[in-house]
Amino acid sequence: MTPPDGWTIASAAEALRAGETTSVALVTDLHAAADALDDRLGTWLDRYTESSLARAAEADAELAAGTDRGPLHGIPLGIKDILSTDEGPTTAQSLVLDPAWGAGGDGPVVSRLRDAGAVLMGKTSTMEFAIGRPDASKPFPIPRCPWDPDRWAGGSSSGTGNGVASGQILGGLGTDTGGSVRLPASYNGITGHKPTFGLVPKSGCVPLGLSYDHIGPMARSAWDCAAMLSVMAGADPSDRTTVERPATDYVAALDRGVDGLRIGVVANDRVTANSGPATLAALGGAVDVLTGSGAIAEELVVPLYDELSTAAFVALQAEAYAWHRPTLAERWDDYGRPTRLVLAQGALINAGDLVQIERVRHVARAGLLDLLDERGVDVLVSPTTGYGAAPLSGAATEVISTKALHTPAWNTTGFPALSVPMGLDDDGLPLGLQIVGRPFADDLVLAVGHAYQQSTDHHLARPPLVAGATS
Amino acid sequence: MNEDPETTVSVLLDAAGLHAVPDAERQRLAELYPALRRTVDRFYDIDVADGVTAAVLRAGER
Repeated sequence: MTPPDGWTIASAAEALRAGETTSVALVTDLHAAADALDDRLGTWLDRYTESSLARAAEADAELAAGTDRGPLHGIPLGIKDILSTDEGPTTAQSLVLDPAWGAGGDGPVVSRLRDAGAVLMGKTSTMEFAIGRPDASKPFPIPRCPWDPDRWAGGSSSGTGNGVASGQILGGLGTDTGGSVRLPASYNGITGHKPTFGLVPKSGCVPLGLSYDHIGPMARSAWDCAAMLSVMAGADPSDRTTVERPATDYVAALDRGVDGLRIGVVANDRVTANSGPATLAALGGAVDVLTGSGAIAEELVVPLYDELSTAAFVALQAEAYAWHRPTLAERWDDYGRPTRLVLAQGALINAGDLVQIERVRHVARAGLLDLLDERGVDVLVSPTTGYGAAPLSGAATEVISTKALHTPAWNTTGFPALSVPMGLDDDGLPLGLQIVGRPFADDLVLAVGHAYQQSTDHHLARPPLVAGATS
Repeated sequence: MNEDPETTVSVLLDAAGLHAVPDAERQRLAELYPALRRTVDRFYDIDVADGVTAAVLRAGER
């Protein structure tokens, strides 16, 4: 029996151990939800129906025999289809990617989730190569927002985002180069975490911006994301950008609370001028919740914030172009138009430009760390996006402007950044609160998100469409 | 570099081997190019120390 407000990883894990459900029952119910919703929401590129039921049966048998792999054991998850898995080819939602790419099977993060007992439900939709825009000219689904299917699910981790929000999976993997975990988390009313760069290995993921890419967990709550990150984190020799760190139980670190914590509210014009009134009101309410729990809030202007934000967009074009150049030259027409136009812009900047962007990146990052130390600020908060989910057609310019994305600066710095739901706008669309921390303070960022979710229930709200389809 | 965005973009695309880009998309890239150039140029206005390199090379690292 599905709870009235749907499953979370936490509630399902508890129910599995209490004998109130089984992994097979969960997987069966979620497949039924996918049967009912996928045509309307465009969540899936490939569903692992048979293997997921088999894996769920194994999980049930293991749990019954007393073998408990932790909170993800028997939990159904989705995998964004730019991450390789044992089950089959990765498409990156493109006609271009060689089906042999990823033939080695699970990358380290997928392998770790599988070893933790997670049940892989299939590959979720994205935008072509995690870039571009929804593209009806190619034979792939258009991911829609379950809160209003005439609107976009956000991207590029679109299917994981709308799949979690619509109850087709309990969590999943996204990737984030300029906001691609946090944007769909915000649009779909779920929780998504971009870890510190270097915390989670990226091998087994089709690269976009090699020094801006992150793999992150997406689920309904900070608790659920913490459970996933505890499994995902850790250096791996296949990704030399990963950093050796002590193993962390991010769930155990959640209950530290926010009493005495200093919160910097990002006050740069780029944020305030590119966020709607409902978003800024929701942000004010969220800050009130945190200060009501003992945090101390102050406004903070992030130095070189515009440069930190635009660096991600420009440099990722160059880094992506470097990866795509051979196929872009040979198979221009096979790429979707939005994708190829973004990639080609990488050919329009020169080597010196990229060097200068990298130099500014180092200076800006160091300057911000100095400022945080000087002011004693523990975390920063801002809206994740300036507006709720954008219409698939006819969107106002300000809603689809890259300036309304308040996410990319944290790809440039590599700082951890979490998006949690903070209420609805006047159209009934979810809005996201972004919580940003110092490098490797992922535990603190998740703890702040958890504290907020202990005082609010925005993360438990369900889209009307889903409540009607699955009740 | 030529001041005309259409010519500049075509030269850069051809130099990169992107000969298959149709005229309409060359035109679109030419429309986007001035804003891209302005965005990049602003990075040269930031004061960075001479010691800041684009990448940190650590001798002995694989």
